[in-house]
Amino acid sequence: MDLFSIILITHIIGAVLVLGGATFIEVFLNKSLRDGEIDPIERSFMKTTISVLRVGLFISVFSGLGLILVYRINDQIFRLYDPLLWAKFTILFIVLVNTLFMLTRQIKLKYGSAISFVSWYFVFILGFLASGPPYPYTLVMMYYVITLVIGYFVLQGIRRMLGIKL
Amino acid sequence: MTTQLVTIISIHTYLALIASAFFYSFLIGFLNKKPASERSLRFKSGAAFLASLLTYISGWYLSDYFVGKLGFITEFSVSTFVSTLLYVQQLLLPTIAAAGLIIFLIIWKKGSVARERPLIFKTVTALGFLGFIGGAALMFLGVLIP
Repeated sequence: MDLFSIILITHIIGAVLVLGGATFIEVFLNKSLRDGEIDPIERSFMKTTISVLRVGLFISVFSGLGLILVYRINDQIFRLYDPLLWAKFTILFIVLVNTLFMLTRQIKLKYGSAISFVSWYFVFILGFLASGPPYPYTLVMMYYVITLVIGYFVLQGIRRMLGIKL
Repeated sequence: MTTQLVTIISIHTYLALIASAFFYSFLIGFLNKKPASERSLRFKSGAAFLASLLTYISGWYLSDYFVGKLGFITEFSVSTFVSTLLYVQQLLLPTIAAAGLIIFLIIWKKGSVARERPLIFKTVTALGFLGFIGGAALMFLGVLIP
């Protein structure tokens, strides 16, 4: 197995951990808020899941940079100008800033969790589209905003069905 | 591409990533309603400063290679993309190292008081953001400069 394959597999493992973490954070959040408050056990589950997400993020960013370096070293710098790659970076940046806003309560939990949940799925899908035909950056970001709005209303609909007020 | 250049680029980009990650981790601990312990904040700000300082040193080696050996020019120019990237890189390198140092000194001297005084709180938050974004930008510049 060559170096590129090892880095790629590591990157995918990291991405899977992130996606799994983001999914379970949303599930645990909705489950814990059904009775209106988060008890210590639920908080402990949430903390563990957030840790898994952070580990996954660290693995995928570290290996992602490795992939970029491999392209750079092999004189495939044109791959770094792929709009999908830059859309991925932009969304990753939005998620990280969103987390800071959520911590400082600058953004409501219902908006913040929807941004985080939808964005991680969108980044994951973009990762698979990267090997396909190129899409313009603005188009990808437009799809992202539309998905974000739809995702928010779907999540709110599910919460309403479960009787959760956020 | 020479082995020396590959090594410098790899070290520089990973150091920039580590610096950016520590700045972000510091911000998470500092901005949280339940802030991280004083010891943890000191460690994170110290690590961010150290990583940004090492990024600065490796970045200068990299710039020296581009300017000294390859003859690139570092100036702001709309027509020559590489010169502008190098110019931005040379501006960011000392900026994030300075941001790291100021945060580290503030947290070391003031500790938890830094959160209570609005001016210090805003300064540390702004510098933390600058370090986080600057580190990420340096990481990309490290691989983008041909």
